[in-house]
Amino acid sequence: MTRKNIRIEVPVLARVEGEGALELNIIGGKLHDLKLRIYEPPRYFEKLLEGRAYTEVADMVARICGICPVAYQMSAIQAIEHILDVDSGPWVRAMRRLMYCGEWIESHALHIHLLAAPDFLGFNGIVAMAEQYPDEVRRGLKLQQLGNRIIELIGGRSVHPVTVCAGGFSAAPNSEQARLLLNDLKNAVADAHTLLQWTTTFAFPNNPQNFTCVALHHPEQYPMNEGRIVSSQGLDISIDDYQQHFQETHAVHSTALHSHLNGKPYLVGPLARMNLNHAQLPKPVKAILEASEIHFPSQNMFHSMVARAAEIYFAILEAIDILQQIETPAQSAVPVTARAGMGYGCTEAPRGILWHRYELDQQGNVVSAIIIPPTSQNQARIEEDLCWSLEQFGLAQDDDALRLRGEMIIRNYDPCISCATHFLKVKVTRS
Amino acid sequence: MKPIKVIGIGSPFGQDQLGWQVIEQLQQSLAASSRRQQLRLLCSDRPGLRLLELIKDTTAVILIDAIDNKACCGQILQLDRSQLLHTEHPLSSHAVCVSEVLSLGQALGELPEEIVLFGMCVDIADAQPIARQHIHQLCNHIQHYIDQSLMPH
Repeated sequence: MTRKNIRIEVPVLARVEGEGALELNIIGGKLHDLKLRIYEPPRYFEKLLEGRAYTEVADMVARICGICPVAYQMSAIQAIEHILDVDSGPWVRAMRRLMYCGEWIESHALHIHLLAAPDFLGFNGIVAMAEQYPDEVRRGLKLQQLGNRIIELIGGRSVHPVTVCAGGFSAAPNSEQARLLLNDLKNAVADAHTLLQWTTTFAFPNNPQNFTCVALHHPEQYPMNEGRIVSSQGLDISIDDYQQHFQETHAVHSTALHSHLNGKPYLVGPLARMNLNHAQLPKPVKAILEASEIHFPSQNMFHSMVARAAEIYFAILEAIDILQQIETPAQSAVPVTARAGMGYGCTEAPRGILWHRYELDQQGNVVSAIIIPPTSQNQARIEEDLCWSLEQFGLAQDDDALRLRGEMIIRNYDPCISCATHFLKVKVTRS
Repeated sequence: MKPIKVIGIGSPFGQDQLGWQVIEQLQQSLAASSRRQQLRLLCSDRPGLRLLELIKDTTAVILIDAIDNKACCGQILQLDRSQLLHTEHPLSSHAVCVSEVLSLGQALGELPEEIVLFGMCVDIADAQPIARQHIHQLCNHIQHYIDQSLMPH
């Protein structure tokens, strides 16, 4: 066996959201040290929210991310409505679920085609891939645009939607635009079907490993906006009890926090959701998976792309179902009244569970805020995966091969690094 | 004949709103022009991949954008198709820039025949508004280009 000392530094990770870097230190042929460095500046959102009215929270948290603003708004509003004791009703719940369908579709389509698929087809990026796979790329862009249109229909615009509020929405969607969108969604079913089939044919590395999956679970539907937090190790808790089981710590080499479940890394995101909830997928989605060689639950992180494609197909069918039953409501939001209290929200962002906690004062101003993004929760798991998978891949591989494999492993998690660097502990004195 | 699209891109805030301000100026200066109906003037806030949708259904596109270079604020740059396209790989979907989107459009065979970007150098970090004379100068350049290159008599 060849023994060597090598140090690999990838100063900027390509094809992930935001900016991070990977540092490997191999001594004597063994992995001595590995760090996934997040070096985007801390965003201080939790501190920025303090003192703001609850009516401002949805607009502010949407700015945490341009790819998943809906997720931040949904988790925040859930927490705030918990405090205000609001039942926004079935129409609002349906519209929020529809909005989430849009975000999953656009985020997953963007990830599959722009970030992940080039790896498995031998290309450095989407431009080179488009020259050989133009129909597939066009299909992906079309699906991404469709997802953005859903968000725009409900939220007023696709980036940082403006209609989300406690109690519902500031305006109901335009019925003619909804009708046109429904028609286009029906026409997109074949594309989603073909996309899922396509992803099941990729030559994924055979890389099963041990990890704990964490996701929401709802007794009646594939989880998006509602449910209890469950794990593949038997955890089943209310979202209110998250902090009793999950711990955040600051890793010295990163501006993001690392999360652990009972002291160990865990996985959130499409693969975790699929592993824990695949039985609730609609039949057309299940049929493709059953006919393929990819089966869930899977412990191979490279199957995450198939999980995303399956969720795109599911979200298109779900959006059609909701739009077919849509009615114009008497009011787009129920009245709410400010009150003091502590509330919790947890919804399934495209990248996994996004947990919020807010405390409001009697006037409805934010006293404190805690926001735990899915990418933060996956940080420890990503480092654990890198250590294990690169050892399995073979540390004797040349540096370029190690670098590419390391990047592919990270891209499985579709980390949104811009979201994960959301705060450090800060003492603020106001006078 | 399909209308020529003139698209101001960038954030509607700060110095990056150059494209928006130029479009607003062109809407006023071309309001009474006989050419107005042959032009479609629009703005888009950092469209990313959506730019490919915006530049469809036309034979010519003029993009207008701020260029972050405080060393030569006010300098106008005109970039043609060959200068706009390159195959650098995007670092993340948060940073898909104009040239990368257009390169993707080229690979898909979806770019219009004529495509040009008019940019003006600004200091993106400068909170001050862009000088009105700079907006006028850029508008004059664009109108001259439209008259001479796209719609010659």
